[in-house]
Amino acid sequence: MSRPPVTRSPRATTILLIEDTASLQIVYRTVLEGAGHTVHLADTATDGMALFRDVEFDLVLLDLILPDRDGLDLMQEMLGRRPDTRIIVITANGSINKAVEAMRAGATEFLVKPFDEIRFLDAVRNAVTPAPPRSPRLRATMTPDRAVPSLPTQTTEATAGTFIGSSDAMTRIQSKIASVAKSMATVFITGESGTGKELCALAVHAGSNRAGGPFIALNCGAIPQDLLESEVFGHMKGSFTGAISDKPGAAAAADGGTLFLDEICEMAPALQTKLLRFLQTSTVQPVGATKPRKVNVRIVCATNRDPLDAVRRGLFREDLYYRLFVVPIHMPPLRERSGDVLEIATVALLHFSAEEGRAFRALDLDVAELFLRLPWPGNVRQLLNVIRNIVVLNDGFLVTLDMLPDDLVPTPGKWAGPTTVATARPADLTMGGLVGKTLAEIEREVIEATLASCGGSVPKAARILELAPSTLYRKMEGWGIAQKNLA
Amino acid sequence: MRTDPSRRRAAGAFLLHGPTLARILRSIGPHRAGAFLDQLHTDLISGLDALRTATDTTDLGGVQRASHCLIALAGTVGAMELETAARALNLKAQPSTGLVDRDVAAIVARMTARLIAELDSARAGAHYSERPSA
Repeated sequence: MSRPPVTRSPRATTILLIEDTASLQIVYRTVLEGAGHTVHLADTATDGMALFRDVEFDLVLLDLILPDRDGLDLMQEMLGRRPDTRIIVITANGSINKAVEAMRAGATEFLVKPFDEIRFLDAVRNAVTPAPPRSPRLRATMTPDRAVPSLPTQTTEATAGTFIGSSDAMTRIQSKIASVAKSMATVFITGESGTGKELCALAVHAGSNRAGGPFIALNCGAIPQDLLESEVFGHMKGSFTGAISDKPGAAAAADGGTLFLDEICEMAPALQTKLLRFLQTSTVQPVGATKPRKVNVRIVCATNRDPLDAVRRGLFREDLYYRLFVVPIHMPPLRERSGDVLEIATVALLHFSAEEGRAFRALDLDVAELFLRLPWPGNVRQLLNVIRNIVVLNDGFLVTLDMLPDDLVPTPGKWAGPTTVATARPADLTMGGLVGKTLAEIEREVIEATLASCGGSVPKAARILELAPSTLYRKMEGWGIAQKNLA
Repeated sequence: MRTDPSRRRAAGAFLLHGPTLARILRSIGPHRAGAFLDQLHTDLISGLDALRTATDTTDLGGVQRASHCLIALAGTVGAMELETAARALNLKAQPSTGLVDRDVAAIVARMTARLIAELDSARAGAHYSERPSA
């Protein structure tokens, strides 16, 4: 049996490996040394700390479950001693929450067991490669008179693939994306339709070391279930009726890049099993192929459902959920970040005006006030549709009230038309916007609002809702929201 | 009595995933493959013993550690069914749940014993360029 060629590290690094399982030590150590790194080994936290004190390491690989001490405690002591230390945490599925906690506490990356050579070496390489400087955030500039603040010219060029919004919620999301982008960790994006989940996925890809690789997006809800396997894993010519040629599939097409699986909760159970196998082995076997093929893909997935609710209802495999729900990002609806409405509207106005050859530069104050009051049930997508409609059908310097689509302002008994999204309904017929949402969405909104009104205090909110605090904590954990974010 | 391996393979009953094991052995290289398989065998036996002891004494931390170890070992050799069962056990044994699920623990123990037996067969049939040094 011959060894496969390895990509040698551009610079040999000195690595401290703290792992108590001897067979895994052999695997990690051999692969690291094969890639040109120098490895020092410790099988307890005590030994690891002793080595850490004596030697200056480029990187620490740390198993979170050690026989003599909690790995997280050890990491904090190491970072307390040398804050610049790069630490990759290695964990099994059951301690993913702890791993996320470790990332927040300063870990550079975490890897979920079992071992995968490509991910492992990628993570090591990323951890020892300095990150490029982040691009400056876009900021608004002021314009006089009745026009609302407009934006500098360069923002129109930055519209595509860039998040717009300076609200606290979006600032937190951008910061989270910046933190996780370099990691290989799977990102699970949740949020209502139109909140920008795909844009978020693109931002994760663009900020990663695989930005030069492909970004392949697949909508699991839009492809017939009987074709989905072929779309994800590919097929060989003649493997089924209609397979007239070999097709690589999205997973293979995303090799070296990112595979974005949108509406993941709509995936058929049989395919969920295959996706789980793919995540565990990083190999794809096209329909009709006899041999699997190894690929190097980062997974980002999204859903507009509550994924934990889908698990409870048996629609989504629990083990797959825990495999995928590593770094959750929740995209808030536009009504919860109304401060961003004008910023998004203005950027879109400038962008669409440039595309359509119009002179629009800003929103009239009345229009701006109305935009701030509207609930935007279709979120950013609805707002963009409205702006596009205005730009196509009108021209001028300012957008005025008479230019707005007739059905934008709801009137009783009149349903929203095609220029707004299909979910837009008159406010007085929707019980404050609740009608049209799932019970799970309503439950979440009520709980988040109650928590916010209690300054983020879970015990207080639990008393008002007549729930056990532990129930609230579980739900918050499932939604990937922290208590402090609701304060 | 052990079932004839060829019949078990036909029935799809193997826990050990051949291609995954072959891949990991390739990553390690022939000079350390033997040492790795021997150590894996030892670690699985230790994990199984630790799991049985922790389950018998309702030691939550012990179940967490043993299942964590078994997740990693099973996953490394592609024993997906064992890995999944060990994950379920580990998940239930987290402090938020605090449960030693004896039924799941028994399933994990049975699967681990089976994996050890399969590994024995694989080791017996394996060819290494060099045996592990003492």
